[in-house]
Amino acid sequence: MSFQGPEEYDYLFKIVLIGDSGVGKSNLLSRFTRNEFNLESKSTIGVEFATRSIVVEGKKLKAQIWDTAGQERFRAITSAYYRGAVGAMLVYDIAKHATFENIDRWLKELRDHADDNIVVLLVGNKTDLRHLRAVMSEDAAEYADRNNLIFIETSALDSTNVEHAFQQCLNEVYKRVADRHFSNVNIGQTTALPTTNLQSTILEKKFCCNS
Amino acid sequence: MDSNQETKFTKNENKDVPNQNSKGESPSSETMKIRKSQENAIDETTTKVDSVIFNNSSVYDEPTIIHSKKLFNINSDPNTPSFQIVVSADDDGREVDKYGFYGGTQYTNPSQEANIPLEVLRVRELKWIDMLDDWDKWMAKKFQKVKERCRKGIPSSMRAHSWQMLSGSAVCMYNRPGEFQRFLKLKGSETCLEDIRKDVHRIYPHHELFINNNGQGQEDLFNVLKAYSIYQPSVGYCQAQGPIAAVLLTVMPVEQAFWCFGTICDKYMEGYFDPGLEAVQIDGMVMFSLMKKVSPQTYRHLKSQKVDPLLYMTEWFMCLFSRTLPWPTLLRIWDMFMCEGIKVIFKVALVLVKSVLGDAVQLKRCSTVYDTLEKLKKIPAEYMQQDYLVKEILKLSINEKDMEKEHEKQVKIWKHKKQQQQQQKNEQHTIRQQQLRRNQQARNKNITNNSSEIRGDSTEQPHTQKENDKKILRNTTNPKNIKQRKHAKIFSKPHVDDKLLNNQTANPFKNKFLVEAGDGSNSS
Repeated sequence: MSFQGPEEYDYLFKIVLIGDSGVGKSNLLSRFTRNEFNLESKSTIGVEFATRSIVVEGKKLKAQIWDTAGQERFRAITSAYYRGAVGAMLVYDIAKHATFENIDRWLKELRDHADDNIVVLLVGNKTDLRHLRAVMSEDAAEYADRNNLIFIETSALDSTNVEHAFQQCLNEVYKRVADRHFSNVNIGQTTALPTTNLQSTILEKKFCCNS
Repeated sequence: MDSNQETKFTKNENKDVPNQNSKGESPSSETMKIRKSQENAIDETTTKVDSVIFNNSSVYDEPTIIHSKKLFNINSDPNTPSFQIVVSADDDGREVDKYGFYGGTQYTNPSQEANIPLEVLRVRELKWIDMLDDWDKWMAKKFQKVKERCRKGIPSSMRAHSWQMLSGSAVCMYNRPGEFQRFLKLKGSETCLEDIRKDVHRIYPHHELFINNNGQGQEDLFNVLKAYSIYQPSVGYCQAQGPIAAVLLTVMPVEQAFWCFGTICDKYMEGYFDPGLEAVQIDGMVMFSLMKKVSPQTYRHLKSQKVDPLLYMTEWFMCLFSRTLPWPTLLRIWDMFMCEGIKVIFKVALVLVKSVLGDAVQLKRCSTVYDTLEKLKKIPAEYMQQDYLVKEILKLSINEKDMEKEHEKQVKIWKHKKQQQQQQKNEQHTIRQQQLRRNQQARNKNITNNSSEIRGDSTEQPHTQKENDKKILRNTTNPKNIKQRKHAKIFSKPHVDDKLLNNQTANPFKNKFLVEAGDGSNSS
């Protein structure tokens, strides 16, 4: 596997997967990084992570994806997970409306703990359960629009859009990072500490060798 | 092959892969083998299984779907002897192991088993029978010996009884006949029940007891967790509790498992599952600090990379290693844990961290936080073998006093930190409010000259702030609440608990004293 052993990359991006328990975060991660799906994947206690690299505009981006516990009480210890994250996938289950209703609270989590410029994707997972759909795509798209999120629907079970979702997230992160290269001053002006941290996280890793 | 079970379809991989894809990273296989996921897709009466794909597959090109429960469509009776299940499997398929596992990361190969000679086992059994016969005396006068024998491992035939005596749950059950059944008749919180329902099928899906949806094992597991959530409504259900209850159910019947589970959650792991997860956070700091003494260079490394202990110890501690260690090791560690308390979990954690990050060569390979975390997440099997682990635990250079001292220190730091955070929050809030007020005033000036509006706004301000402060207070854990909850416990042994109740945060090192002081007098 190409992501084992020493590996060179141009950028290292930390992406976090958040959302209610049971929406399929761990399976999105395993589908994207190992192409595996497990109907009985154990609940995540604490944090799990995996990496995969992709190439965007000739640059090798290494995505370090953090999968977090979804149960409400684990939010007490999730602040450590958000540190340095440049992308977030906010996952809900299209067959369970309550998981969509909770998106608001997850967005608040992001606002409280993550960088202001973090790229956020709204991901409606489990599209394979089309006969059980409880959240209409239009509603979710409208919500995403209102909150400036990128919207996508996926199925970790049959792989639909999983690649695309992560690619889109990484592309967008890359775009924002590239933009900031040219407008560093602006960034410094608009926000305080977190952005500086984020910026340095990305830059420090640049041209690193993971040995 | 039954066509109901297996379907093949072709999937165009380019559908969702943009052009700029890295070489060799995307699935190259055009044909995907997939088992139908829908509940009704599988013939429920089928007992013969054609193929099994286990979780450890690392071949990237072959997408796998793992659905063990459906694959092993077995009789719902957990007492069904495993040899009756016909399993003809793929290259990865295995027979059930000694502990009831069909697969998964905790499957034990017969070759990995520690071979204790039968005569030795028999002698140990007799010793345990002797101890259990006169438990009070042993606990009161020869606790050291009991501890030693737990460290050697409790013979499996004696384990159920011993764990109940060591934890004191036997007494709880004896004192409260019918209580468990009464809890089950109550309705319980729907949020908790839904969370439990979401989990029971995925806690040890590779174990024969829990493999079948609607099977007795899953029902028992549901009942234990439900009963506890009713008995301790302020704790409710935490996902980390599932595996703990499940381990107990593999050892003892459901009612016994419930009382043992209750004792573990309330006494051994007090505060671990409370909504604020404070005890876990404090214990993470304690563990990290103890590392300084166990392996200074590991401590320095973790400190320099700012690796938050919560990133690797949460699952270890909250699940008591039940999802990490190989099964024989887990049982042996739990034998010790039942006797000595959470200190054992600290020691296991310290040994594991030291084993993977103990020397300069290992540390050199961990140049980034991620490398370090990966090492801690993927601990080589050799470090988790029971003989190695127990030997290293006994060799550790820290004693109980060190641990207790460190705990006290960290609790103080924790409280101080909380206070500071609260202050900061209040200050930020005030600044925000002032800013808002200024903006509002500016707007009001621009739009209208009605001064009464401005006055109204400013009189309203303190009220809002107060409200917000209240909200913050509600959100943070209030020690007073903890205290009240502790009083409400029915597992409590009065003469020990009075002293403990005065501590506002959970003390993980008290359990030895609990066992020593409590069990001797309580067991009958």
